Amino acid sequence: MKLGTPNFNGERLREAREARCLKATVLAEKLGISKQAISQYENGIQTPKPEVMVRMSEILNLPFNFFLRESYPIEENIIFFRSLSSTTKITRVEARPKLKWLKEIVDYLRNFFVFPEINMPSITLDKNPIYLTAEEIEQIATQCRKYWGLGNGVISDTVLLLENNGVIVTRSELSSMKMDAFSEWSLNDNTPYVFLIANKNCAVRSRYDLAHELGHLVLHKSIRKTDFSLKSEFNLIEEQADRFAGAFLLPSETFTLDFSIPTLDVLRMLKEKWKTSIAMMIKRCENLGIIDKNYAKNLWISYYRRDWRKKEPLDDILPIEQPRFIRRCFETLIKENVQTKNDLIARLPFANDMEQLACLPKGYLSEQQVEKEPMPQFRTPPNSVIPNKQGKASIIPLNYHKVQSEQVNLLAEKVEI
Amino acid sequence: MQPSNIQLNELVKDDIPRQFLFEIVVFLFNTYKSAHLYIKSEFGTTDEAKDLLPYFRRARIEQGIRLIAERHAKTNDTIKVRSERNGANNCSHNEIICGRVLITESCVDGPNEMVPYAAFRTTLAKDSQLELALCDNNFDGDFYYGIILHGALNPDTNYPSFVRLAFPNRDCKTYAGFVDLIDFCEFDVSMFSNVSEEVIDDKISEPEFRTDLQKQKEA
Repeated sequence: MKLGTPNFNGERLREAREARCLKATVLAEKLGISKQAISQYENGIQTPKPEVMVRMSEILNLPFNFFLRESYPIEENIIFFRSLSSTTKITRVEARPKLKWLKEIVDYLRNFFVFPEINMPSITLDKNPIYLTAEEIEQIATQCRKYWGLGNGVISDTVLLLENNGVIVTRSELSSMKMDAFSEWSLNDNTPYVFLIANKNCAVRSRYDLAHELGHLVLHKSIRKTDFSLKSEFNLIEEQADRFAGAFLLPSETFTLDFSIPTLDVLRMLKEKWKTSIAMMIKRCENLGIIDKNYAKNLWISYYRRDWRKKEPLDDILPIEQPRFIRRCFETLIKENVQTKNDLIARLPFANDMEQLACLPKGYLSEQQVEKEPMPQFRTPPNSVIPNKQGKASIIPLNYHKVQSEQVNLLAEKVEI
Repeated sequence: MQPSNIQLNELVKDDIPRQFLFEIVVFLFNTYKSAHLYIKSEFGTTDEAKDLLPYFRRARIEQGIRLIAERHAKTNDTIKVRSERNGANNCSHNEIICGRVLITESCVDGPNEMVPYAAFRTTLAKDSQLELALCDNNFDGDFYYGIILHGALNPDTNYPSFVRLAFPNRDCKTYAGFVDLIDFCEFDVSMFSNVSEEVIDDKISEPEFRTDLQKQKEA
């Protein structure tokens, strides 16, 4: 009988490999096994030996029980990858399992919490959304703001706006720098998801990405994969989402009051107020006909001369909007003693990815949880020095437990000897 | 005979597109603010900042008004714009023709303040047929000269306190009348000065437990 790993789930291996952007050949090489073996594991023909499992767990940075976990049934809808044309296939491959894990986390949290009701404006169209005109998109963006009771001012926090209205938003890193964001109306729970890529640490860009994805969720909800296949059609729906984002973040009624004649210096000053990039404002001015093509061209020339393409002024100063709902769910579960950190790690074995997907601080789940139960106290011997007179908790070094376990191991070795 | 402000209002209404004037008013408000912010960012609150502000703002205003006029001229034959040098060739100004009205702009200290002496303005005022035109409905003269007056009553404010189209008399020492452009364009100053922020309430500050779980917890 061959020695394998009972309950090993090959689908989970494929997910893990894709999430780490590893080709089967590369993983096989790292594990010192053949590519065929990986294929057999993934297709459930064979299961890895325990020593291979240990290596696999290390390389893919996922706990052992992840690979034993049942598959999560996904009914995949169309996923809108931002800048699809420039997004490499490997990036899209990496993104899918991460989105799937996020859905698993959300699914788990639904056991405990009532999620905000989905309150998204729905539009009824008598034609394929691909044929929406720029004017129609402007109108839809305006309706969208009205639907949520917004005036024509600057939206203070777009992430919070969407989370309040039932959209699941995360901000997480991906290995690729080419993708900005992606979104999906999940068929599993009929919930809109927006995945913002945290690699480009820029507040205005992130706001724009979110508005762009909102455009997809509102305009292209009814689109199916079969509705478009040509690159030109992909580009068209991207342009539509761009137009929506512009109209949503910079309503023409109030925006035009600030931009009769925009110069780069004026736009630079107004960036902080409108929380959008200078590039986006130039484009919006052009779209609204405030400036003509020649004027816009001159602005772009100056823009490039100032080297703002790489980094605009204020990019590293404006605060980035952070998703908070999933993070708060985790914090509440722990604070209310409904689940411990260890429970969560055991039930959702996504290692560091879980902290990222839930927008928790790095190391939050692996930190030792402070006991709430009062501990029995030793009597203080007379004349002894009382440490920490202010009554504050003493800080235990992070490696304390590690040291302790090493000592235990050493002791065990000695005993064996 | 002096024309009444009602007559001037009619003249403006007939000859100058309202949208054109509206954009100029909006632009003036924007430019006051952006020029103020720009100079502040470059020079702080120094004396040099105070010295430079009116010159910088004037340059922006002249440039911007010309661009607005050029844009309107593309779709409206009655609008023409040209940039003219003064006699000493040390300064330029725009002359915009809208129908029968020829317009320049000036920043002044108060809404009734006379514009400072300039040879070109005196010539334009002298040539203006305003008085004749308004006395005689059949007048077929060349143009009527109007000056867009703007200014901040408090130098620390970063928006204009008034924007009006003033029609000087032929001697250019007094005004025949005014049209308040903020009123004429129904420009909502409060909307401009306070493009409000849409503050999003945090409705998810405390995730709500499911009722079945809540009961379990309470039990």
